[in-house]
Amino acid sequence: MTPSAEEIQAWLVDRVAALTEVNPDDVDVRAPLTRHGLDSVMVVVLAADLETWLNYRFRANPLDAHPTIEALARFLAGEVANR
Amino acid sequence: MNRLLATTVVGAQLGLILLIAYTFEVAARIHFFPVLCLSVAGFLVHVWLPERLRPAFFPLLCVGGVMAFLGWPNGAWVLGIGGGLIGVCYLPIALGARVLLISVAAIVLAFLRLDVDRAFWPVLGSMFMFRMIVYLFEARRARENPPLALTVAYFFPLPNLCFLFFPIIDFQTFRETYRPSASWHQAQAGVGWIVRGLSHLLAYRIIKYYFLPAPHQLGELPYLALFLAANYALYLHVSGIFHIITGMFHLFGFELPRTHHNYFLASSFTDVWRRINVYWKDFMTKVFFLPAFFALRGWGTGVAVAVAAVWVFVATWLLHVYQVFWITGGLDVNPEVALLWLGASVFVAWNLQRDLARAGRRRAAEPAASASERASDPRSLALAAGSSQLWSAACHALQVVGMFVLISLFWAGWNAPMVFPFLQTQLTAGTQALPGVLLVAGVLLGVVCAGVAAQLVRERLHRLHLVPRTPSPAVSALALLTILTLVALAPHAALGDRAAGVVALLRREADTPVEAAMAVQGYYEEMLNARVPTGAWLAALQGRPKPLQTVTYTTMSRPTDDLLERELIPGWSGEVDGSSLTVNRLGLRDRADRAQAKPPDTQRIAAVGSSVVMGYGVGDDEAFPLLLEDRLNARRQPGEPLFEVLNFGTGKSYAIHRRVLIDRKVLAFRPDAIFYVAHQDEMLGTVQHLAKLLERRVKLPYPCLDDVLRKAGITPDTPTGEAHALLQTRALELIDALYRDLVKDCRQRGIVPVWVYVPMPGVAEAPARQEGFVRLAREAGFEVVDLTDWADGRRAAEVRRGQADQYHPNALGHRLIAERLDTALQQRPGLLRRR
Repeated sequence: MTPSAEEIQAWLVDRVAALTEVNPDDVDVRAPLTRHGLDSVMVVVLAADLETWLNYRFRANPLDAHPTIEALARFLAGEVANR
Repeated sequence: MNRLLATTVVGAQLGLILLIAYTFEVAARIHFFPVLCLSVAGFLVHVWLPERLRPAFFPLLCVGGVMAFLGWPNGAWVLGIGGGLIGVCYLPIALGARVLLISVAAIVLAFLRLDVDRAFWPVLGSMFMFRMIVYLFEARRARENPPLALTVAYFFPLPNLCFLFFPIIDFQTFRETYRPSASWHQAQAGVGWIVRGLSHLLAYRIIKYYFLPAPHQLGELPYLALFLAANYALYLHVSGIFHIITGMFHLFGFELPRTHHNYFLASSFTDVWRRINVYWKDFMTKVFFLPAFFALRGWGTGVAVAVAAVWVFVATWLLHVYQVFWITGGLDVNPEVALLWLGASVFVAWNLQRDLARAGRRRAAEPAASASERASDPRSLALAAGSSQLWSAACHALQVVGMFVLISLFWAGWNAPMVFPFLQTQLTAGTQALPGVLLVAGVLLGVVCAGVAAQLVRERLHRLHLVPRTPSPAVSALALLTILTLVALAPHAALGDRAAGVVALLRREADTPVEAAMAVQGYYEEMLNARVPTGAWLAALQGRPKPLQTVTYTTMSRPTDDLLERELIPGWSGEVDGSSLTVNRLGLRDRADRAQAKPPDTQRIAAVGSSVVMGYGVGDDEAFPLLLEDRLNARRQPGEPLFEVLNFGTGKSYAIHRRVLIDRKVLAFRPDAIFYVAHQDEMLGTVQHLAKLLERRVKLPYPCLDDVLRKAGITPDTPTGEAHALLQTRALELIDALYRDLVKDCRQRGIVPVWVYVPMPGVAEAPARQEGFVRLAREAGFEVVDLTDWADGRRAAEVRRGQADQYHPNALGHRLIAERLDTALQQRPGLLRRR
């Protein structure tokens, strides 16, 4: 099954909340991910988890072009669907 | 809150901040106060402007500030070249072409930086060296150019006019956190950051003046440990300045995040990296770490992370070299420093692997944890777990203390590597070092216990809701501001002599004797003290003379042998910054008609000492020995001998040089008294000189020096670094031996040996250390004249030559020294009589 943008977004919100130890309701999907206090290790962990979950390999830093959770989820949904 | 009331409250706090900055001479050498005044005035205008005008106001203020502070033509150069670079960024061509043009421009500018000596380079470098990289990095994904006003504010920010060492502000963050509609809350947050920064700077002074041991104390392990800790703690200078910069941005609606986050409490290598200079970490993560990590993703997560971490630290070293180049003009490519950074990268890479593994474990255990549990402080949860509470707190305290020790060592390796021979000497001292080891271990254990207690008490107070988990920034700012204001305004009578002395010292921005002697020059200190070349307008406003030209002591002196090193060139004459400097045919900076043969009925005083005695930078008729001579002769009674005060002052000279000079030159003039003039740096250069003599295997002409070497266990085969470290710990003994030998020789010849202590204002020395120094001279047998307060309460800036020369007195300074010395001689006429 291919996850939708909404599912990826919900997954990301949950993961970011877990990594930064905040309530998922406080995670702003339109704010840049780094603004949530994600450091380099967290970005690496998040990317590795995403790759495993979606069976997808990043070729460049996804946060460069898609800095927010919303944008990243939309991008990944498109990538996974077009695979 | 009512806008007028809110502005009044914030304005009043800013008024107090101005008072504190002025009273404590905060960053006075880099003219922070005038820049702060402009910022406060700008804020008071900005806050009343309609929202639509605010985005243009700050950039205009910044550009106006550049011209006002740097003056013509430096301001125009900065704005012209900077404007050109910004113009290239806005060209309607492909990003690659713009990057290429900027790169070519940067290379050309770098060559010009090497060849063309202009005062605007540090400012231009500070404004563009990193921000242009960040700006172009952001441009990769921008669909359109950002507003020009924002770009101008980004590249020419007001705080950059005094602080050249500047946090690397991320352009995206700068843009996204800007609120033209910013209310008083943002300004209040800015006040909080500025006050926090001021408190860091004052804490820095306390550590520098009172806790940083002198080099001669480093022979004892406890002092060595204190030096390592205090040396790292001096980083408060950087965090203080960065907090102030953040606060100044807040006043104009830029809600920038914090730059430092309780970095002394870091508990792992990666934690230090996250807490200290956060903007640098973000910059390196964004521009170096993540691109490298994703490029190497195919090698596996662990390998990619490790290689990316090493790459980040290699880049960190290169960027530090790059930064030093743009700000100071020097190319300091030191392979030892590169190795140090490489070593640090290995630790961080190892730590990152642990963090990744931990994240993996946490991920596995995650389903059991609820969101609300995750929202709580994890350490609070651990602390709340009852039986594990104490254990958890102890582990954390141990990690924090351990990390502080490791970072202190790393810091010393970077900024003060001269300390390692001392450490080596201690570690190889066997059982002799045991008491010191036990004391240091005891202190560290005490700190760990205090850390555990603090965590447990804090947790208890949180749970009882007596202390909020996050203290109110406004309340914290007000509390700190109140303390600082009270200290700034406290009258002498209310404090008592001792406390008043401490406060008086803290109110002065001063160098330690080591800094004054330039024996230690840390990376950050060099960068932080880099000065902005101010224009004539600001110089006139601050009552400062025009910048000095550079005719150095080397120009007017010539090399001799290893014992004396240099001597003044007989007959040399020239100008030092507009003041005539003439060396007579006898090689003295003295009257032209002096003769070596002593005229009848003449009382001769030989003034021996440093370039201060020589009168470096003041006119031929303004040096204090000459002024003293005039004063003595002016009040001479009929029948009394004529006075001659011969000036034997020379630059770059310390105790051994002076002793050699006395033997080779001074005694031939048959003086009745020798006035040996000493400053705070007396103990520093002598050790260095003796170590050099040993290295060159020069036969020492004074048996007292051989005695010191023998006691220190130094043989001709002792490596230079080790010999230096061993000697440094015996600096007091060395000076004492030289003094006693000189006094004995003088007494035998019937010459009165007088030790005149003339401390340089602006060079801070703890009073106890200063008193010990005077006592040493007295016990060695000198007649002591202590002119500690010769400047009569005047600010250092009033009696020194100026911003470019922080050490030598100006004409007023020399006059005051002569007056005070004359007064002392009137009170003790016996000093002038031959025994």
